Amino acid sequence: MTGIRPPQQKRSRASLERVLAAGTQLLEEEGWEAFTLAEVSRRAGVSIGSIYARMPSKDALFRAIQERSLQRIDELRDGYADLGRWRSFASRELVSAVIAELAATFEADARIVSVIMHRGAVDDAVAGRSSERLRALGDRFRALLLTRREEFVHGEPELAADVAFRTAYGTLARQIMYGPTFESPNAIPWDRLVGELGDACGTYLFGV
Amino acid sequence: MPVVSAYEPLFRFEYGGVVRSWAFYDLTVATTEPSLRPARQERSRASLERLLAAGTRLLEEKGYEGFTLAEVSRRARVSIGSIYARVESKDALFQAIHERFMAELTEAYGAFDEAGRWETLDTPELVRSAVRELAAGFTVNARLLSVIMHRGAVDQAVTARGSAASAVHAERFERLLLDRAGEIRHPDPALAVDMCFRMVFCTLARQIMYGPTFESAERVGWDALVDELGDLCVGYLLRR
Repeated sequence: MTGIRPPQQKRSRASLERVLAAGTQLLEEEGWEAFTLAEVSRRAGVSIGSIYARMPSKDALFRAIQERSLQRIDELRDGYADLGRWRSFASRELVSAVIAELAATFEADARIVSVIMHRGAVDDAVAGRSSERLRALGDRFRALLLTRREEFVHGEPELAADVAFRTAYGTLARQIMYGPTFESPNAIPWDRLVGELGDACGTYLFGV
Repeated sequence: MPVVSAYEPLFRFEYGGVVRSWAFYDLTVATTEPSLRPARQERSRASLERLLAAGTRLLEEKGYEGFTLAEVSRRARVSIGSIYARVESKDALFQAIHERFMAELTEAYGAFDEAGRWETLDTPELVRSAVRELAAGFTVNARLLSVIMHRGAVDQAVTARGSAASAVHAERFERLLLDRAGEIRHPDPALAVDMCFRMVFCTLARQIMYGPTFESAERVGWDALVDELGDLCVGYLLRR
């Protein structure tokens, strides 16, 4: 459900791929204001007619680009759900590793994620699509941590796991959206920030 | 007002051995141009006051989409001509409302500097109370704050002003906590208190901006969330 007619032929698939890549690059470089199908057409070397044959509007292209980014969230979710991957971690290490994986997913396409987040602030449809996938991610994040519920020092494990997710996700998301000096001028390097979030959430859930 | 243009790459980002330059807002954009012509007479000051109050209420009720000078004029009972004599555009009025709101917030956060409020508290209670105080700023006018935050996503002047105010609030919050640096068990107290400010600010800001069920369908009440964040900061700073 991306609003794009799927291409049947190899050549069409390649040109759709070029359109998606050019659209992504344009958004990353120039932001939403400069995002037009005419410019995407120029950059992709695909005629405007062929683009319109595939998608009705620039919103449809934006939606397809967002969908690609959300697929990374789905992959992260599936990684959390694969409980065997995490069995060998001690509980505190598990928290750090789970948050590091969340951060790495953000980092992998930070620029387009930032553009999508800014659009989401003024376009409820964009925000709603992200929200749905983030909730599914949050479910798996919590379920993974709750496999260690007997080690929680917090009396309400479900609440604590949810607060840990909100804190880790919210802090990372705002760094991606506004950069490292919005809340405070003391920029903390990304990898340090990620480590400290793991430490803070680990202590909160499992104690020192 | 400065024009929002393409993002400026401000710093390089390194993670997992990959270095890339990353696009961000330039938060240093000056917002020094006065948004309003100053009111010289008492009567004009009163009508300016009515404009700001009516504009604020309108934003709370209808958001930026419903924010028009015609409606502000109707509600404030100030003629549209008098409004235009004072403000160039609805954006100028919006910027003035934001400016005033940030000044109010900064005044409220003066509580962080009132030594008498804090000196009798033991350190864990001081951390919890400081987190509650920080959280209280978000609920002074949560509706208006939400509208402003959404505008900040597309208006660089708003982002820069919000960030400048937050820097002042962070400095006060962190100074208060660092008074107890001797009891902070984290090896880098200055970094740790900055992390606390960020974690509390970011988690709460997202609740204000997107509501309580954006990233999680679990329902956590505001007060419960604030208390949990207080506990999280106590554990992180004091290792307990």
